[in-house]
Order: sequence, then structure tokens, then C-alpha cells
Amino acid sequence: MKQLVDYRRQAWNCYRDNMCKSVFSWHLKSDRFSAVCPSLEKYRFDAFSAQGRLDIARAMIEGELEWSERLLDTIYRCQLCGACDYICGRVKEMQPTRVIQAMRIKLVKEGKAPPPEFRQLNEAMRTYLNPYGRANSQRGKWILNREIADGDATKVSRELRVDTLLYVGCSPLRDVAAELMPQAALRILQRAGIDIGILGDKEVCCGHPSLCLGDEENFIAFAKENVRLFHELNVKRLVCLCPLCLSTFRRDYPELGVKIQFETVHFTEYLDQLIKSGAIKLTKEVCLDVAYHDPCHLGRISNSGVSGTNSFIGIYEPPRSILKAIPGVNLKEMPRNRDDSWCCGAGGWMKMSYPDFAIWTGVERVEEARSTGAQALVTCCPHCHENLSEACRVDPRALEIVDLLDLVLRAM
Amino acid sequence: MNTVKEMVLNALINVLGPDWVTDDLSIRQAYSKDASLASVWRKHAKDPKTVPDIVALPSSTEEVQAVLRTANRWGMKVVPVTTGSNMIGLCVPQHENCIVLDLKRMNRILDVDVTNMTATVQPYVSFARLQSETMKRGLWNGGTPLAPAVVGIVTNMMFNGIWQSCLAYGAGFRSLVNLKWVTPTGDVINTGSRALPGAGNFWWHGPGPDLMGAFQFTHYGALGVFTEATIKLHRWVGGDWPNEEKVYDHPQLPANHRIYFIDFQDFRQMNEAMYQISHAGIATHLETAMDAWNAFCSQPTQALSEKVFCEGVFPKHCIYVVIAGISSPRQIEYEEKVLRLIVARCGGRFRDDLRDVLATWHGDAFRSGDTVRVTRHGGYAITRMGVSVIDTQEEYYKVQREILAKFRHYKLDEEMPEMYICDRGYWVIHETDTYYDQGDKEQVKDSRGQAKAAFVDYQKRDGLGWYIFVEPLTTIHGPNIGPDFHLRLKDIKRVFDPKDTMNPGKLVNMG
Repeated sequence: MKQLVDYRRQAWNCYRDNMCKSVFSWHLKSDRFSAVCPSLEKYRFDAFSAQGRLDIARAMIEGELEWSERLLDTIYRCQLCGACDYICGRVKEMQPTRVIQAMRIKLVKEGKAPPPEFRQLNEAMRTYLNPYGRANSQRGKWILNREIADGDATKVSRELRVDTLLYVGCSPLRDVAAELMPQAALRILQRAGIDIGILGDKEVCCGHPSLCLGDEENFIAFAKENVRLFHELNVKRLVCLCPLCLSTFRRDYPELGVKIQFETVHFTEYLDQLIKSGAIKLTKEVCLDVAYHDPCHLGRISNSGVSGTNSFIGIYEPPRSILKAIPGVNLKEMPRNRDDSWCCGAGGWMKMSYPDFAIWTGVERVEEARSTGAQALVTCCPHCHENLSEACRVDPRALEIVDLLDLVLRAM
Repeated sequence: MNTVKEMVLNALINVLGPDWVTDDLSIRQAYSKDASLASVWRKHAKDPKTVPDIVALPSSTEEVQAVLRTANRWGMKVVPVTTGSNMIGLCVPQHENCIVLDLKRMNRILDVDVTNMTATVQPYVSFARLQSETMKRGLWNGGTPLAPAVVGIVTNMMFNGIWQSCLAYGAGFRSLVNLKWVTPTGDVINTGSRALPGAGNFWWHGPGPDLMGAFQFTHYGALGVFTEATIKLHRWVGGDWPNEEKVYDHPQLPANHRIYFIDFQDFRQMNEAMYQISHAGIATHLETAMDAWNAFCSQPTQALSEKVFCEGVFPKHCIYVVIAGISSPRQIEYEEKVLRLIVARCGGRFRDDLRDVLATWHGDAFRSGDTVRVTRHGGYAITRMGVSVIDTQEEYYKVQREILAKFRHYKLDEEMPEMYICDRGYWVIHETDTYYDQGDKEQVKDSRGQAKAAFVDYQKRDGLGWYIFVEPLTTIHGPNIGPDFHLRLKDIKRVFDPKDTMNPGKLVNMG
């Protein structure tokens, strides 16, 4: 991976145009919802913006800055949501979160990071090989739910040598609530009679938490293990349920020079195709005014390059297309949508490290959803779902947080 | 840290709270460099004075007063910062014992007065944010700088503020109605009609002398801090804008507006057309859009920009004009007729084929976003800037090419002179920038050389170089403005700032 010194040019050539601090000018529709960087909005000092972090990177490269606790704060209190990558990438072809990641890698290598708030996550990734510190043997536990097992899920879970593999990710290890999303996915596929492979307890973490921490060595180990496994199984298409895993495969693995011989898609892309082809029919009415939250890892940082350009387009339309296909659902767009979305707060594993910051960010998003008059806020990321749900509990003016797959099930 | 700094830090924490004051080096680093050649050069020289000692974030006029009083008492210097985007080192400390006053928490639009067509804002409100709210009410401020639109609106206006629509709406300073101002000693002054209790924010001339002229434009944050400002608004006929960007980089033109790209065989023809258009009383926007400029703004990557530039896709001598149907849609028809007559007379050619290719201008003409692309090569600096009457454009162009011939430079530099026609053609701002790699010390040195050469050469030409941005900032006003001019500025500063607390070393050096 690129090291901090490789970003010297970027670090020097940020000259405070300030574009990283606000929704891209042409897209700005509201003063109230004009901010784009949660970290800057919460902590306010420029050091918590991409501009400030590039200044810090420059100072680190030039040997003008020594380690301090506050330095770790400025580098780690960031969701790596990629809002700055989209804007700075669009106008200057610079991606500040890459530089932030390189600073973290440097500090970890020097034994000065991660900060104490991240140590539990680090230990879990090193010891248990997943972010939740659970035994990997429990990875397939969500499938054992009686209702699911009544179908042929256990059969498919053993059918590993199939072209299309559902990659669930680590989130079901978190708690019972997090099992609902993969269960809903499987129910949808079962009802449509679609065969798909599931790795169950053989699944390996994508490694994103290690990359986020700056533990390059561990991240490389996860990447190598996953690619070996998928190639060994001769997987042709990997359907990711968790946007974070998807972006790790698409955006971060190529940074390692790892050659990937399979296609990665998100479950919503797969589902959208099934609906459009008529394999899944949504017939029941679900009367609900909804706002849709674009997960950062499904959107502007779902791939390498800048969303919207020739390199890639964030996965914005498939979830919307699914919502529009559900009878009775009325989509109300938030002022910050698609590439300009405000992070849910859970990005960068903030929920496990700086939970107050994560919730503060989530409350802001819930407020924005509420401003549209929507009754529910829909998302399709397990991390966004968890954090936004918790943000709703903080704010007494209730807004339902709904998993997109749950809505689909209701309509089938 | 010495005792005085410790005492000041504690005093500020008492006033602002511990979350909003810091002396931590990692946080202070983020306030030590901007786009100026001066600050970049000082960074290469590892000048420790670029880094402030304390950063403070006040949230109200009262808190700003408290910070300034504390600084005055203990002999600390204060550098105010809104968004901090500038090319002349305004927000980078020059002296030790310095507090950076980051005004980010003062970020509210206080009022949009539809009846009187004004908006009152705090310092951190940007062009884009104000436009997003006023356009909903059928009003706008008249444009954005190429800066881009996320910079602080009032600070931009305070320093003249050149826009693409200066033709119709004037340079930025024309739009400021009045200010609430905290002097370096911590007193509050209201300028214009704001000074009369209950009179409202409608006029820049108050009872007695107009102090806004002293605060605005001339002293670069060296006479205090504004905490509220009222801005003039104009009628917006563009409807619900911006719309969704359906295709990347292709924003829609607002309703009741039409954009034209026109090319000419040479600079002289282009210049003549600009003169005639501006004097005919038509159009809202008029600006040069040279080949390199178009190549870089319109392409999403550096590689594509360079390819398009090298292939000569865009005409070298090109302008763009925007016509608006403000009084009636028929206004567009009439003004287009006049425009076509002028262009024919001057030998120009309408390039409708460029309209789609340059779709980026549809957005940037109204709310700048993509112009930062011209700096993908690295950073940039204004090395030549002149203000003069409109018929000096050819002379300016000639001088800037003479200067370029003396220096090594990036290809883009020589193709990028810009002319902003202001106030219906009463005057023009000429600007030429240097596009250099901030991390390359040799390129920084070369760019500084260009700036200094411009400063010297412009003085020799009558009518040029009324002011030029070069370093150090004490030389912004050249000798042709009068040998004792800087002394008079010092006199004014001494009245308001006897201890030289505010932004010392910017414009006038009291030491």
C-alpha cells in the first residue's frame, strides 16, 4: 500500500480552497444541511477537516510534528466517510482519506497508534479475526434460526461450489438484531426460489477494521486469505450484504495489487435485477413515506476513483429503484443525498471507539430525514441501521429506521 | 510555554470553554499555510512563526470582544480567519505570540429581508449557503467568485471580491450594506444605518463619516473583526436551481438565462468586443475564458485536461456572456440581438457547439465549483493583478507576456490571463496566476520571481499596477500610489489599534 511519504505532493498542495468543508457547491440546497464533514462539524477546529489533516500530514512528512494524544485524536476521529474524497477528487484528483489512512499506518508501524479507544477493536481483529471478539464458529449462527432453517438454507449453506456466493460479513456476530438483515435476504431469495452459496462459519472478515485502524499487516493477511478462498471456490460473483465489505473488496483490495478474478456486487444491485427480471414480484402495498439514507460505502467510496466520472458511479439507483417498485412507498429525498450524503455516524468504526461522536452524527442525519416529512428512514447497511436506530432512541421525536430488505419482504 | 501564553490560554478557556481553545501543535498546524507564495515559502524555510500559539473559536460578538481585550491586555497578536481561502497569506501569522481567531462557530444566516432585499449574516456564511436560502425566496446576491462558492461571502466582499457577474452587479464591495465591527481594543462599532437604533440595515452611509470604507478593503483584517454584515440582494429569476445533476458535470442552466461562448481571431478583437458589450448595458456575466481555462475546468481529470489543451480543442481567444430575462423573458431576445450585432462588428463567432462541452460553466457561472480544477497541477498564486480602466487590457496582456518570457513556468501560466469587467465597463480587473507545485521549492522561488518582476514592471507603465499582489504584503500598494501612502495607513491603524494587535504585518507593518 502507499505510504505517507508517497502523498507528499497532495499534502503540500492543499491550499485551503475549503471545498472539503461543505456540500459540493452546485448541489447545495439548504443552509441547515450544508455541512458534509461530521468530524469538522462536531469538533470545529480545521485540524478535524480534510484540509487540516492534509496540513498535519505535510507536517508529519517534513518532520515538523511529533506524536501527541491530540494528534491521534485529529487523525482517528474521522469516519473515513469519503465526503472529502468525492469533492477533492472531483476538483483536484486528491483523496484525503487515503492520506489519513497512510498517517494511521505510519503511526501504527511506529507503535504510537491506534489510540486507546480503538484498542479493543484492534485486539478483537488480532485475536478473534473479527471486530466483535466472537468465535468465528458462531458466524453461521444466524442461519440456524428456525424459520430460516425450515426453508433450504442449511442445504445451500453447504453448497459452496456455486457461481454466486452471498458474503454476509461480520455484523451478525454483533447481536441478535444484526441477524435480521441476512435472514431477510435469505428469506427473499428462498421465496423467489433462488440458489445461492453461503459460507457460514467458513467466512473470513474482509479486514476493513484493520485497515481502518492502520494495521496494514493484518489487513493484508485478511485480503490474501479471502482472495485465496474465493478463487479456490471458483466464485464468479460475490454478492455482498454489507456495503463496507463491498467497498473493501472493490476499493481497497486493488490497492494491494491483489488480482481479483470475480465480480463483486451489492445485494441491492442483485435484488434490483431480480425484481426487474420478474423473478421477484412485489405486490403487497406498504403505505409509507420514506427517506433513503445512502451508505457511504455503497456510494461515493464503493469503488476506486471519483463517483460519477468514468471510473464508477456509486450504487444510488438500485436501492431507489427497489423502493419505487414497492407499492405504496413514497420516496422523499433528503437535501444531502447520493454523493453528497451525510454519514450515518458509524463509519470508521466510530461506534466502537467514539460512540458519542457516532450518535451525534446519527442524530444529525435523523433530523435531516425528519425535515422531509418522511415517516421512516430506510437504509440497507447493517452499520447505518444500528447507529441510526440508536440515534432515534436519543431523540424522542420518533422516526422509524427500516431495513430495505424488510420492506421488500413486507411487499412480497 | 511561557507564563504570558499560559495566562492568555487560561483566560480564553474561561471565556470560551475548554472545547473551543487550544494550544496543541497538531491543531495549530492546520492554520499555518494557505495558497500564498509567502506562506508556502515560509513553510519551506521552516519559519516557526507561521504556526499560531493559540487557536480560539468564539461563538458571539461578546466572545470576540473578550478575546481581543485579552490579547490587548497581554500583548498577544490576533489573526482572524473565516474560511481562510486566500492567495496573499492574510490568515497565516507573521509574528510570534499569536492567536488565530477562527470564526467558524459564527455561521448563521441571521435574516433574509425579502422586502428590503438584504441578508444579514455572520462571518462563516458562504456564498453557496446564502444563495441556497435566498434563491428559494426569489433573490440572490448576484454571483460567486471563482474562489469557489464555499468561501466566506463577507470576507470576500471585504477584499473587493471579483465575480464573473461583476459586469452587472459590481465587484463584491458594492454589495456590502453595513457591518457590526469589533475594534482591536474590543469595542463595537456599527456602520451605516445600523448605527441608528431601529433604523434597519438599508444604507451604507450612516450619521457622520462612513467608517465602513476604513474597515473594508484597505486593511486586511488589521483593524478588527466583523461579526455581522448586511449584504445587498438582487432579483433571482432562475427558479428552482440548482437542479439534480443528472449527468456528471452537466448542471442545468437556470431558467430565464442563456449562455454564449464566442471566439475571436486575436486578443485585440476580443478586447474590443468586451468593451462594446460592457458599454452597451446588456448581459449579466462577461469574462474571458481562454483555451487552457476551458480545458481544465471542463474535464474531470488532469490527463484529459492536458489532452484537450494540447489538441487545441478550445479557441484561444474566447469569452462567455450570460444574458438574463430579469424584467421579462423578452429581455433575452433584445439583448441577444445587441450581442449579435457587436460580435459581428468585432469579427467574433458564436460557438454554440461549445455550449455542451463547456456545460460546467452553466453551474460555475452562477455558483462556482469546478474552477479549482485549474490547480490540479499543484497550487497557484496570483502573481500579477492590476485594476485599471478598460482600455488598458492590451497593455496588460503585453506586459504579462514580457514577464513570462523571463521565467521558467508551467505551460498553463501563459494561457490564463483573466479580465473581469466591472460595473458596466467602468473598470477592469486583470489577473494572471501562476500554477506551481507548492511542494517544489524551486517552483515556489520561480513564482516569487514572477511576482516581483510584475511589481517592478507595472510601476513603469502608466495606468497599470494600481495594486498588485506580491509579497511581502507591505508592498501591495506600490510607489505609484504615492510614496507616503503606507504611512497614512499606519496612522489610521494606530487610531484603532494602538498596540498593533490585529493581523500585524498585513498591509502595513507597525514595527
